[in-house]
Amino acid sequence: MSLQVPPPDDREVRRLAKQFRYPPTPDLVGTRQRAFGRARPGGRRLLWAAALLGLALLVAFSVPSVRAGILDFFQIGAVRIFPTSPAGTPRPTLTAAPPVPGLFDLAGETTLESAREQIPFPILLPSYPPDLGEPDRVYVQMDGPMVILVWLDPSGKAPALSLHEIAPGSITLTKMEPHVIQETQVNGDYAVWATGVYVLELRNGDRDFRRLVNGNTLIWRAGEITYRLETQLPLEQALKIAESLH
Amino acid sequence: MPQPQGSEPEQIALARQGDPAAWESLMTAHQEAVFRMAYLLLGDPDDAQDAAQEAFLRAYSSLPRFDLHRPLRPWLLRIVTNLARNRLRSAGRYFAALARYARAEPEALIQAGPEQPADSQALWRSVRRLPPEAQQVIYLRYFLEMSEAEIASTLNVAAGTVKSRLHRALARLRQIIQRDFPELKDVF
Repeated sequence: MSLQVPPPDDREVRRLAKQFRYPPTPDLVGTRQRAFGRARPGGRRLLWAAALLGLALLVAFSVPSVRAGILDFFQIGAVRIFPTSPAGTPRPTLTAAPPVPGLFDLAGETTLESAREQIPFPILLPSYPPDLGEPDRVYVQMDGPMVILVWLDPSGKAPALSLHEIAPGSITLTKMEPHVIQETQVNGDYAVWATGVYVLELRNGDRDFRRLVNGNTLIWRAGEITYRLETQLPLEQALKIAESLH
Repeated sequence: MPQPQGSEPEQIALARQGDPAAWESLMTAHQEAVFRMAYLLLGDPDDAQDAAQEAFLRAYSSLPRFDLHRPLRPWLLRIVTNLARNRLRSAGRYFAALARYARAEPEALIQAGPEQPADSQALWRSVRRLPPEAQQVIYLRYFLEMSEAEIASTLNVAAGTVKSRLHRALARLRQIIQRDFPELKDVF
């Protein structure tokens, strides 16, 4: 952005902000105690658990995309999850040869540096685990736009971790019938954890790319960007990775 | 008001083990900042209280994963900011229309609150016309008086990014003030 005028003297901003008057801070501790009562130590955990469950349900039903999704599918940002496949869709199993390509068959492979020049939003990287390093493979799909980051396992032949970062646009990802779907949070944002063998379909207009996924996936949205983390790690570790993005 | 028991990491560790006094002490220490951030973003004391309450609820549920060697406040502020922004974006044509109305005339959504000095009120109204990311960094730096390091931790960005966001936010703020808030032109 070209600055036509110098920014304001921030001492004045600071002075006026300091004069700003707030409503009295409510006693949130007292409110919580009145709501739940002074329970016994064991009982308090149950009350918190019940409150959290109620909150999770309230959050789920208050978001219309999720509310509608409980009927047919969940949607978070660019990702749509069908708990049961649309009629006529065969359920994938690992006993059959994979009918679809894998991550390495994606088009648009590039370098991280080049991806940063092409993608219009900041590409975030996890800082956990501490020795993860930069991704080994990077793919860019400009129609979304979307970037896919892939970290390889020690053999260098298979993905250990992949992260999709998707801006709102024409790309949608559809997951058919993952085995388990669980609600959770990433940095306070609603998130979904899906596990099992399922077909992931990436659709953009008349182009359709499908691949088989066998593992765990964490999906969440932060701001306008949808994130999809694919891993063999359990939920606790996946959440640590997700919450370390910077 | 419960007295602090040890350092913040010690209190967090106790809260993780289910010590209610430890968690209540942490809430008491941070509820003012959390509530005020919600109020700045939402403009309504009742909505702000709801958002602040929900933020602590979510923080408590995520506490086992929180790195207790990090300060708690930036994390709490990030949670309540996300919640407040979700409320402004949230479901239904009514809220979408309300949010559009707020962007056009943000002062219309400022509900009953304490009477403000005129200049401070005008400053708030002008800040509310900024994009959400710019509002956030202005509130954290000038209204909640956080350091650039604390803001970097809240936003999960580098310190240099905070500087550049502040610079851009102030430049846009000045343009808004010069265009829409003549009462502040002499101040700047």
